[in-house]
Amino acid sequence: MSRKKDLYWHKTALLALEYGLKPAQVSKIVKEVFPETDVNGRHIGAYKRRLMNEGSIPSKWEHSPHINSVTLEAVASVTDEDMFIYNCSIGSIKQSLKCFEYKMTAEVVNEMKEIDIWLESIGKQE
Amino acid sequence: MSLEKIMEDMDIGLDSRSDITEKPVDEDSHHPKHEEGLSDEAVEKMESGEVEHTPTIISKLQGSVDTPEEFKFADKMTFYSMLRNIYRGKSILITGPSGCGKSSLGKILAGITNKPFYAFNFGDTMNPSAKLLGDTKFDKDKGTWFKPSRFVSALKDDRGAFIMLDEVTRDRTGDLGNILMPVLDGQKYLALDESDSADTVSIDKGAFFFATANIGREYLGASHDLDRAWKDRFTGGIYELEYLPANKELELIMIRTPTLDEVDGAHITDFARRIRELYKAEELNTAVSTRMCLTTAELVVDGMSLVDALKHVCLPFYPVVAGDDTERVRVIQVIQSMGDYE
Repeated sequence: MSRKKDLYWHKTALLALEYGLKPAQVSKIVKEVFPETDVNGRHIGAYKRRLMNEGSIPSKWEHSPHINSVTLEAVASVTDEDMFIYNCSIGSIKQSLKCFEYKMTAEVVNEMKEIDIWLESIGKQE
Repeated sequence: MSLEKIMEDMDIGLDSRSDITEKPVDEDSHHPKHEEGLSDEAVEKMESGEVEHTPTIISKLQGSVDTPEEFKFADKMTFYSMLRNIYRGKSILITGPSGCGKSSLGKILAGITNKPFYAFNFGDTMNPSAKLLGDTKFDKDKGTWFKPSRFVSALKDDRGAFIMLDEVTRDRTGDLGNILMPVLDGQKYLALDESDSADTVSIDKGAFFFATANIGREYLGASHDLDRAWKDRFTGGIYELEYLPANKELELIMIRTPTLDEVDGAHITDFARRIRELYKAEELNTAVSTRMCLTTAELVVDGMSLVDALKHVCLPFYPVVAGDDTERVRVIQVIQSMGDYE
């Protein structure tokens, strides 16, 4: 059983790394395709090492295309599946934040004051 | 009598079967794995120990998507397989007792996948066809006209709607199943027979159906099992939800009611566990749901004593009947034993 981790941005990063772009440039491309991602140059660097160890990409390139043309290609080639997974990863984080909102709300809102106002309004009606 | 003897008597020895033909023996394909139907390539890979790593949708979901806080109470693979089904457009059915979190699960999944969420509850309607198809209206200027339902809008939503069909087993008319069959299966259409042009609505390819059902002896309209044809339409599978284990239920209660004393929270979940054991032993006709636990916790936070809150929330579910050995008496006994902790 393989323990390799698969992520939604791997295909996009692979495309750019195969052209010989540097991790920092690849990270910019990944951010262009997946705007809310938290993937940075270090993540890309680690993935690049893995690909080189596997022999999937060479360690040296003679020359690479301009980042803009690779970005256009990356944006056009992203799959629905990877986009869905990206949306889920962002959605899941937001969902967890919503969950903690209960705690935050309980701490921030002075509920007793609201109850006093409400009780006062009932008294006035009588 | 042995099998050989019976076959001999009936003169149907294996050799006499005409559909069995002798295959020519290939000298190179003597590997036992060939007999299991594996190709040369597969046998070669197996022998070399070389297993190619191919990313799959589930492996990518596992790597990329953290289980949200509210889903940590369920099995992880359940979470990822549900996401996979949403992506593939495979409808799923969630069964389980009332108040165990089926509908909440739907809302959470819709939130995670960022799909437009439409909920239709069939426990609140006597006329499911009007809810699914639409209604005929009258206007003094226009005359009689057909107004398509919100369900029709959901099917046509080109952003790929997340459609929750809540409490499908509550329909007593049988219309719900008949109308939904072509919607859920490969035909993917809804016939609006009452509309002016009797047209059909094509369903957006991104639409996903999430149905929930109460299955159990205590639910009105819910048999112990669903119609086979219905089950077949849920190609993403049927997930059977159970009540949460006590420790997970306590975590959930503490998240939802953070100002609750944790000791009270533990008593509430312990009470629920004991009632559920009685239900499983068929000594009670209904159990205590997670929803009831949360309501009790909210009342305790607002100042009611634990025993009073449990009585207030749970007793109405157990009928008042004469006698010393009724369900209600048993539940009262469990509630009062909770008072010993106070």
